[in-house]
Amino acid sequence: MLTTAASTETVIEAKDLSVGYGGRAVLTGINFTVASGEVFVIAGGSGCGKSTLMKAMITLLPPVAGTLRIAGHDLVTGGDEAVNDVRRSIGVMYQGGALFGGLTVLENVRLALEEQGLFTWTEMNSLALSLLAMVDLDEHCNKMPSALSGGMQKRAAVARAMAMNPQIVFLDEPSAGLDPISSAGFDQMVVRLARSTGRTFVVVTHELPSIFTIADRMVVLGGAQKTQLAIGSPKELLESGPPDVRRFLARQPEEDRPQGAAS
Amino acid sequence: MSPDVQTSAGTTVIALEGELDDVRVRNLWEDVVGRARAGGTGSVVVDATKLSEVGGTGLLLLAEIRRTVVWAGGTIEMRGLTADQASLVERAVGHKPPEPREEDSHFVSDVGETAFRALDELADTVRFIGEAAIDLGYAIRHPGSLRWRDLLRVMGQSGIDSMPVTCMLSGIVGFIIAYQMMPALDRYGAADQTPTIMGFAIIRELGPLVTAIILAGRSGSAFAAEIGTMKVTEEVNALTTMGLNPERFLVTPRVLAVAITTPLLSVFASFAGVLGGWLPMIARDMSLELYLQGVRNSIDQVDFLQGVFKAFVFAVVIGGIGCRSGLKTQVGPGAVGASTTRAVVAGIVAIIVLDGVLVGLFHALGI
Repeated sequence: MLTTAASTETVIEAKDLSVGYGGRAVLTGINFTVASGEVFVIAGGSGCGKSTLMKAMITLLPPVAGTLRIAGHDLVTGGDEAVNDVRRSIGVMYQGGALFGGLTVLENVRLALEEQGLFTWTEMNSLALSLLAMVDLDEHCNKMPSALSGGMQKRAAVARAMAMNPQIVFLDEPSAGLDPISSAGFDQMVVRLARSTGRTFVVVTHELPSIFTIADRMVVLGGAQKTQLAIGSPKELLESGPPDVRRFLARQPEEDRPQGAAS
Repeated sequence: MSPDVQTSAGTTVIALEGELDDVRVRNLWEDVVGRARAGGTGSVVVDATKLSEVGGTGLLLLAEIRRTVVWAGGTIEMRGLTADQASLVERAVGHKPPEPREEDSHFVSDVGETAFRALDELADTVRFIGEAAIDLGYAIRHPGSLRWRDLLRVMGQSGIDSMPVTCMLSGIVGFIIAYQMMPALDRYGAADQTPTIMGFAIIRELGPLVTAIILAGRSGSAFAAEIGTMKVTEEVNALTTMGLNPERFLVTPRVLAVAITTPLLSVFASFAGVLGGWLPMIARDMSLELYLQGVRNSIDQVDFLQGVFKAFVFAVVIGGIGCRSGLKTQVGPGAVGASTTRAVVAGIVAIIVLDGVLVGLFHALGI
């Protein structure tokens, strides 16, 4: 696992954070920090607010209350300028890949570089090809996204997410829709990329094998009030986390529902 | 076989026997559930020890009995079920579903709300088209910022590909108008004025209008479907988080493409419409040359430019509405379809209303 020493720079800070839609909080009481270079997992059961939290972190939803600081920019008080700064500091892989269907795999990755306007055409092609090689897709670079399998599309989306040299890479449900082998391969790739590039990865998932493979630390969301249940390494939480969290990590469903009082 | 029901000292015992298949459950349901309900707050015992088989529907009957008793405030005991069956039946706990909320609506308030929503929608659409027009100006001043490949692709689709159908329809419209007008003009001996009327009707009005209607059906719907699908598959979100402005990236090339091709297409459509109007004149022995001479004499450059200007305005409006519908796509299986329908209907309504406004405006300006 990667080191998470106290001296490491904090790249994400959430303090008393509430997130939701239309100014109405659906997830409250979020408090965590993510250190540079960490693989940080946001976990929890279906409908616990994982995706809502991620949408707030990637600037698609304004936070409702509290503090949310991404790469040093405060998304609550910073206004549009902070939003634009954050977008320059992050890369996102969406659940289905979200590759642009009209562009080849290489063009998808190159698009982000084109908008930067820093490199020549040849340099951009070389960079995009190298990024695709990092996710083992260089030989498929001229294919259209529709010609790739679901797992390959996700890997191409990771390459695209890393194209703008982001400080933080967000991955939304990377294992969703993948067979166990592809899923394990994806997890290994995430660990390899995190270790070799030193970038911070924030992964939203509820897949336990993935969590135990990739996570340095994790935050677990849930509860009737939809809040943060625990934070720590998966091992710590499995051994000494709150009962709900231990049950989640040990893959034990909730006990039978309470029976009617009059039965 | 009817159930054996005995009641003593506030306890109702319902003994079921035989096989609890679908047909039997249907026959028993009202009777057994009614008796369970009649037990009120007392105790009900369901004796299933003599049941030879409890099917899936049989378990649902037992669950209904249990729920009925618990809701009434009574107590219930089930005998003779396996542990698994009992566990399933026991899930029918006494949580009453919430009463369906009475619709808090009134005809007058509904009409008012719909009107306000429509006004909001209209204001938002006008704002969006205005922003699209500003982006268009920016793109023209900074050609490097344009997605040229998208621009050329959409120009091909909305221009060259639309040409045959637009010209054909416009030609037929011209033919119909000339054909229907001739008997009326004959009454006043003015059939030779047909080219004059065709010149006005087609070049100032129907050429651009037919072109715009085809544009709404072909390109407006295509824009809504393409961008709507991108919204559903999170590609629009991907653009946003990559720091690329979806309006500039997706809307500008499309609106610019139709703004270039539609006026050109409208010129061809007008010519086809005028030619279509000549066909009935063949029966009157009017030569094409004479007919075209009549058309040319009836209109001037201003009439021609008016038609071209209208086509340009219609194109920006239809392109804007199509793209906006796509970007407003909600989630769900029918969302893209709904956006496409909205783009076509709103586009056609908008151009016809706008045509009326432009006619009034040109009249007021004396052109």
